[in-house]
Amino acid sequence: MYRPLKFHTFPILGLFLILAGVFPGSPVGAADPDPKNGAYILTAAGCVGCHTTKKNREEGRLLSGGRMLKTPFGVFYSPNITPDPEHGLGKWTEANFIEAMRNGKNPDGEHYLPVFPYTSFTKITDKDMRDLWAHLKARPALADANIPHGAPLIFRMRFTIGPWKMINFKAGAFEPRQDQNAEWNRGAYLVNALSHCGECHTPRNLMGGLKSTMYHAGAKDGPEGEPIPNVTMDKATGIGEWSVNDLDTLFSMGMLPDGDFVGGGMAEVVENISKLTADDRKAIITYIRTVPAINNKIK
Amino acid sequence: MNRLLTYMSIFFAALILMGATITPSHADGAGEIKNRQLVMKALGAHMGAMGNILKGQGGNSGHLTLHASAIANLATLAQDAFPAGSGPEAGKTRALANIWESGSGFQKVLANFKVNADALAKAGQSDDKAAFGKAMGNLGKDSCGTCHKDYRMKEK
Repeated sequence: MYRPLKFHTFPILGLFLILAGVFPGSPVGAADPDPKNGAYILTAAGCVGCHTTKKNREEGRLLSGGRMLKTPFGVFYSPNITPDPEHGLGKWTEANFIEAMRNGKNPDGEHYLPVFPYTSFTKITDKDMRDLWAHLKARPALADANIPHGAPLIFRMRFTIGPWKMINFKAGAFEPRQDQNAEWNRGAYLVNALSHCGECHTPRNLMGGLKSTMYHAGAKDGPEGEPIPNVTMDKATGIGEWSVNDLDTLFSMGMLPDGDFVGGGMAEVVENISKLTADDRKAIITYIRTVPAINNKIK
Repeated sequence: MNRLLTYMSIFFAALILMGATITPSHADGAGEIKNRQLVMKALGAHMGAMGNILKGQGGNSGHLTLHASAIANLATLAQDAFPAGSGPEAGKTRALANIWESGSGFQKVLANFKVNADALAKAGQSDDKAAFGKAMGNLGKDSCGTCHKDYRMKEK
């Protein structure tokens, strides 16, 4: 027989609904990932640049890998990171993705070669990693097969990467500095965790690790053989004479103070940075202008 | 007499043919590279001067419109600054060989450059600062940046 619900059952039902909302089946306290922020992180981190060939990019087929990266350590080909189950990340879990970004390891526990800049990406917050993963797995799957690396064997031996990481890699998310304001910290996070500027602008030692004492001081033989400018605040050899507006013009349209426009890898970077919010560009500039000056002439 | 006429007509015909091959201004690839570099330098100087004004670092904001129309003229000159035979085979240039390969998309980028430069000149005639900045950004990213990324040799 049908019995009407008694009035006092409603508060109990309400309590249940509230509890269900607080603990939606994911790790306690973690909010649902936001793929929209993930798309923004994808831009800030410049993922499309390395993980897409020029031809595919023109056709709008993004992130299926295959781009040749000619580095001083040999030739590498970026992998497919679309959700394709065979060639891409289709079988990955969120935990697999976070392990790759945070610790530089694939789902089999093998080390990634540091041409994948997990040395920077390790600094990305958990939230941004989860959002990025939510965005990546919602993208169209493209069945492009991966190309084996062409680098000399010594730079492809993954077991050598373990010791390399002990010296050149420190896992862990970015921690804001208490003695700096929110804008500076946001800039430091964007520069060091997401946009990974130092991966090109900081020179490398013979092992391929970043020389931390030469942070942002430029490199004569950057990726793809380009000389990479010194972007510390040194007046003679860096960007110490640049104004805030000079930096903003570079990041928003790619123009240098002399009216020339950047080409090469930095043109790709500008494509991404120019799509960030004006506040984020301002934060990047605020941070960059506090990087200690190092006298290092590149050309 | 007839023979003399024949010789003379051959001589003049040869002279005319020689003239025809000399007359075009771009017979020399190295000279064409020089011309292109000067046009590009002028473009960079006007862009830089506009940037300097817009950043409030110097110059007169009333002159933006003059710089913009100069750039529109230079964009017209640029249309003829990439003749065949002025590539890396002709001398020291950072212009990449793919500029002259069919299907590389260069001609489209070059034609679009003129469209973007004209849009900037047009924006320069109004008082709308925001529209001007937008047109300049569009020209910079869509034309200058794209071309330097895909068709200019990286620095060595």
